[in-house]
Amino acid sequence: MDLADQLAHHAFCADMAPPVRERLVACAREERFEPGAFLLRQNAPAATFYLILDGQVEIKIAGTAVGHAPLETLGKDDAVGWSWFLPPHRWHFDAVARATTHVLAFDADCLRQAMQADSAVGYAITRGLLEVVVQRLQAARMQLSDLYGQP
Amino acid sequence: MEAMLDIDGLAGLIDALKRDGYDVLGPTVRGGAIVYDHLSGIDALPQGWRDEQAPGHYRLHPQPDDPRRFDHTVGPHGWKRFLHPASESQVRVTRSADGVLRFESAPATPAPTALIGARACELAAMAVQDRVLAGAAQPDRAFEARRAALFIIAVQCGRAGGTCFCADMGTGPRAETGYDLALTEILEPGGAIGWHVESGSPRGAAVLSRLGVAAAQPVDRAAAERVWAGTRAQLAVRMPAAGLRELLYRKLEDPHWDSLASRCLACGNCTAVCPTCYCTRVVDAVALDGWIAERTQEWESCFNPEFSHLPGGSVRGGIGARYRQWITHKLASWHDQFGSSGCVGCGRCISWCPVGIDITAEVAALRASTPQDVPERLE
Amino acid sequence: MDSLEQAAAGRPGEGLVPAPWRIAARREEIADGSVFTWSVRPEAGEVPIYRPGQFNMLYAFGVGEVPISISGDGAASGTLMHTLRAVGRVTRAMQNLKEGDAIGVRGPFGTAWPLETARGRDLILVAGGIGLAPLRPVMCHAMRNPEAFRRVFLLIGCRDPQSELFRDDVIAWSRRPHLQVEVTVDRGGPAWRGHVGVVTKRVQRADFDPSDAVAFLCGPEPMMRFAVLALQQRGVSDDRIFVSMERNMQCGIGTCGHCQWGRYLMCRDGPVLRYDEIADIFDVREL
Repeated sequence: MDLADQLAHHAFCADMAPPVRERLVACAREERFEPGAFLLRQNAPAATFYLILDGQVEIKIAGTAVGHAPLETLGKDDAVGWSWFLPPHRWHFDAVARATTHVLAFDADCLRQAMQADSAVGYAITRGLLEVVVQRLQAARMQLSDLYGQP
Repeated sequence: MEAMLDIDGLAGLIDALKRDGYDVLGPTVRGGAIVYDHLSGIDALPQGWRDEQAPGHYRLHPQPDDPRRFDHTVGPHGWKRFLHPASESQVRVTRSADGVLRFESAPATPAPTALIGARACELAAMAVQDRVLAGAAQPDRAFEARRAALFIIAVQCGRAGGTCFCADMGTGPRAETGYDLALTEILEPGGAIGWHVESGSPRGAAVLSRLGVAAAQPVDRAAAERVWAGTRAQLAVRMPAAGLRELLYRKLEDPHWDSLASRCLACGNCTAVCPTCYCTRVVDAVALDGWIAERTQEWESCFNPEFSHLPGGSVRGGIGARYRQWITHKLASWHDQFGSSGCVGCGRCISWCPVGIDITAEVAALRASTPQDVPERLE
Repeated sequence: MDSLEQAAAGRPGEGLVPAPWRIAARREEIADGSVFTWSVRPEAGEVPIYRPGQFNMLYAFGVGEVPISISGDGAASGTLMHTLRAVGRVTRAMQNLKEGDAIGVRGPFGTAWPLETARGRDLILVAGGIGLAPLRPVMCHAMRNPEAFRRVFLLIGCRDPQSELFRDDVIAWSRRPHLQVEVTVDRGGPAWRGHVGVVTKRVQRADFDPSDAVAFLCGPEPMMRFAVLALQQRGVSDDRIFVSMERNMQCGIGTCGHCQWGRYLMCRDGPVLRYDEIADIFDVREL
């Protein structure tokens, strides 16, 4: 599969119009992370957006008591990283590959330019990111409520 | 078969039932109220007592010169205290030395029992409990046995109580079924007292014919009919039954329940006096020797927070939710669960509520809170 | 007691009278012993026929009864399995019972998972915490009958790796090609290699055919609410979603009143109900 096919099959792009996907392909490259490799590192410049093709990535917070325990794990069809979208363009958490992980990596400058140049692209990506953020927020609230805990 | 009884005839009826081995239960005055208890004879009946009832209000007034024995309406007791007792041993568990448990259920061989003075709404309540307890896939055998041991002498109400609404619930005021004999108390203008009696079963007719009393004349029947019609005309409390189920289902999240939460004490009085409320819990106890345990079934009220206990806490923690459960069960979900309404219109829950909450007024308030733009399809 | 009286009052195992059973085996599901599984055997006679999803009333001498779902059977050894969480007065007492101790059993009661509805289709099982117990017999059925369903997706949510139930079973199920098992925890540890997150995410990602799938849900009510939303979003219709609801079952035979949930008596009409039949009351507070 070429980049365009991989992108078309990713859940993040499922509802996007073909012209929007073409603009995304122009910013994309394939990357591979071996176990232990960082996709995002807390406080580093947020210059890339990732869509996971396969593998597993864990989101962690550095330097807390929970230490190495992941907050959430992500895999195929998930998106990683939205801090590139808003200032100050720095990652807030760590994202580390737990298994060999293939991703589509998008250059953030390229994405931002495409979004500004074409409002249809801007809307589609913003909407996709919002969906990701909402799902993560809902998941975090559910985890926080300790549903399965002893009453 | 219809006949007329004078005072000796009524005494003779009670004596005949006692001779036949029946334990006779009926109304008597105790503690400022008319209650149901074992009757020694006709003198135990509440002659010359009349009750006055209103929301949160019950008073007995003596009328010493009035020869009537049944000029009251329903009191705090229902017959369920005999048919579905407030406490009853359910299972006795014995542990043997080798650790084996032996489970025995209490013997169910009730004595033949005659009820005198059951009202139309109370017969309807028995039929409701029949559907719940005897109609279950695994019926309550003890209830069934006690029910089968009954001889029922109904009394047709000669007066409507201040909280009665049986006509709207379709249960009264005249009992038409569910009795062996039905009495109508007739006070002649001259002060003579008599009872028109009608049989409702072959058993009832057999008892009546053995008494050798006078057959009723058309004039007696006419007098009885005047009593029935007079009572019906007196019924002032209204709660039209049409659309009640749909109304309550539509109101599950109505703000009106908050108003109930602020008034209702969750004391459970309404469930104790209600003749159809049947809920029970089981209480476990072990004898001090540690070898025998008893499981006792007790009346339970849906107003207790523990009623809806789950490991995570009570489902119905708020009093508003508990009142909603009670009234919605009674008037709506009872239909889905047991094929009829759970309310017979006896009015006990109104009279015996310490703060005077009136089920009919709450229903009216719920109806009134229907927004204007919602199509009203109740009547 | 003579036979006539017994007929009138009910025989052991019938109505409200428990039958004598014994704990044949006991094992701890969670290291701290707060969740444990009994294999129980009747003192006399056969193990009653049950359907996956049903429950029994278990009695501890002198303490009381609790409704516990049937989590499996040892068909050959004549036992039933019950998995209990020590959380209340009775279950805490049961936690102290040992192999060989006597108990009372009534049942089975209630409705079952509609295995026939799922036959030949994709079957999605969403289990939260102890909610895996009543779904375990469905997995056993799928293990014994590989052709019963097209594919089975068992999506398990639990608090942390330590509270994962039936670990040996989960490993055995995972090895079958037609069974896909995903375990997700709220809080993972350094050694946890599985998913961290919520079980609804697994519903979103599982590779089932929404147009020909049936879902069985059992777990905390908030979890089931979110799982229903996720299934609806995937396109599973309401009449193909079944939930198992917990209420205060006491008599098991519909005569004590405690387990009411709106128009339903949950010991008789539940615990398994079809979602489209309860959608109108599923979100009513304190019902």
